[in-house]
Amino acid sequence: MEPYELTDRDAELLSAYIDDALDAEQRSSLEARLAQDADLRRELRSLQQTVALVRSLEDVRAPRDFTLTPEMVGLGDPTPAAPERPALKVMPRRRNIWQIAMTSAAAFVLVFAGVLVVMRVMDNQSAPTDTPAQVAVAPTLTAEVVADEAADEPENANLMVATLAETTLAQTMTVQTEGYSSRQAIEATPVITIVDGVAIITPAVNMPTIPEVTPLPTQSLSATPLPGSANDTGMIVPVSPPEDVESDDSLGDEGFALEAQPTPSEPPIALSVQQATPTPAPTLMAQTQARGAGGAGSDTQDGEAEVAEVPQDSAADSAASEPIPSDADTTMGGAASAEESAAPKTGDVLGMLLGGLYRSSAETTLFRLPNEQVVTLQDALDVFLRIAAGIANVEATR
Amino acid sequence: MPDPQAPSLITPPDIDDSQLVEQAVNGDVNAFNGLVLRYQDRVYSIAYRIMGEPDGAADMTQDAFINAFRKLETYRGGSFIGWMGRIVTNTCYDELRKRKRRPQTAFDDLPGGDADDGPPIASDSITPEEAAQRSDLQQAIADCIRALNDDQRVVMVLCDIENQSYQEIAEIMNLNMGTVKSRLSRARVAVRNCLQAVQELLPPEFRLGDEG
Repeated sequence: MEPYELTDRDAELLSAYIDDALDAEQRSSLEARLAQDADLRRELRSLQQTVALVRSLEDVRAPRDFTLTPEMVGLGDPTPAAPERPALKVMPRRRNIWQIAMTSAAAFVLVFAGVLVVMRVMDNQSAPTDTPAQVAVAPTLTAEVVADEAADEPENANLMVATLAETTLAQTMTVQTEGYSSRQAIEATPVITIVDGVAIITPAVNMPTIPEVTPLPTQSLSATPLPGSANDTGMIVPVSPPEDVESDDSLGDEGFALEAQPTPSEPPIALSVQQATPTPAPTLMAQTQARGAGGAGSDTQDGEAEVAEVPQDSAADSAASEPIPSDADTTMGGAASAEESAAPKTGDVLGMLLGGLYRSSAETTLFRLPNEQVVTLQDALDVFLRIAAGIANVEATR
Repeated sequence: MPDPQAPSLITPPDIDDSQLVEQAVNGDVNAFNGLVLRYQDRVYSIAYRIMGEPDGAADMTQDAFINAFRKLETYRGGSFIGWMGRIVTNTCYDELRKRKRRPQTAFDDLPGGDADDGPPIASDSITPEEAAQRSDLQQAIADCIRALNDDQRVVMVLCDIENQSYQEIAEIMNLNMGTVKSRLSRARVAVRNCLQAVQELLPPEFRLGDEG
């Protein structure tokens, strides 16, 4: 039997004929051809047999039961079937807000403290013009603070303040999320990485529960350490009415004062450490790692430069009494760096620095609430400042 | 440990599909599981014919039942297994397309010779010889279907295993009728040519091309 070339067209006709899917005209036309063409009849028959064989296929037995559990269809445990991956993906949702607020605020305060320490050291060493302490005022300034310290135990503060040149910024964009889970068992390590206005925060797992605090109404609050006790506790105590603390003399050995006026919308912070000159604020990139007191202090940090190291006293004391180690210098950031050899200028720089830091924190989105409200670093700082003021109030009334 | 969901206890055979659907649409997973147990062999078989291998078929079957439960309110009466068949076919077809974009040669390019076809559902009234012979034939048919390309295979399964109409197939696969007809005819010709290579397995009345 010579092979019969079944055209695609005929195959379609025969196939549809088998399914009785031809219209009347096609059908009668095909039947007329079939009556004349034995080969076409044979094709039809073989295709009919094929279809019959395929339809004779028996079901196979399911290898197991496919019954559903309520969890499979999202009716059981409220475990979300497909939780959206937030930008801050290391963090489960629950504990976010307060820990972010506290962690970031603590880190911010540590940056403040670190900068203050550097400034004070510079003041103490400002006589020789070849002081190694230099402060970067380049348009882009990268500050890295590594503090082996919980925020509530400033006496153990070990601050390292570093300014990095702008060009190294790309290399310092380390996102401190990987490896978090493996380390969380041994240390409480809140880590904040702020890169280009985006903050990535890894909170410590065992941070203490943060009490609910009702935010104070908009008000001016001023915090200054109490003489004597302040240096021991590092506590910031609000005083009323706000008193201007100015210049290096009033800063003295007693520490520092800082006045903040947080308002919900656009808080114009007044950092009255020194009258801040209205110099354009430098863009500040801060990589802050506030490390738990229990953590391994020598655990290598990812930061590429640690420049200033202040020994283990309270920041103010140590800054006043001990000169900064010579190898711990604050390096210049960028070409526009200004060498701060003139002592009276340090306050300006400080004010500019802190003001800029605070202002830029408003653009640093920490995360978004489910209702799309954006929580910025500045919000977190405001919360922290209020909490600090509240704690200080309690302390002061004892 | 007895399964608390044990649906066999809660789905007496005299409850018909529509009653179970009605309960299930109100969130009664147990009622839906009655339907699962009733049709899981059928649904798995469809998935198995399309996927060509048991693991993928099991995954698709499970996914299909989950999908079906979630969109149960779109079920508009009629044959539940017909509706369910469309869902499992769609689930499989989506998976095949996904695999095509990211090929997994282990599944798609199986020659089909050594795949485990699973035990056919036993019938009480055949001898072991008949069973073995039938099994060989079944295996041969299954292998020939498996050898089709994905598009042809899905259309053939829809038409010749699920008994969906051309119109339904066109809707399920988002094709026009002409494409459905053409794919189906090519699939049938290909399977016929495949089966002609194993003529000796075919019962006399199915010797392809023989005049009855």
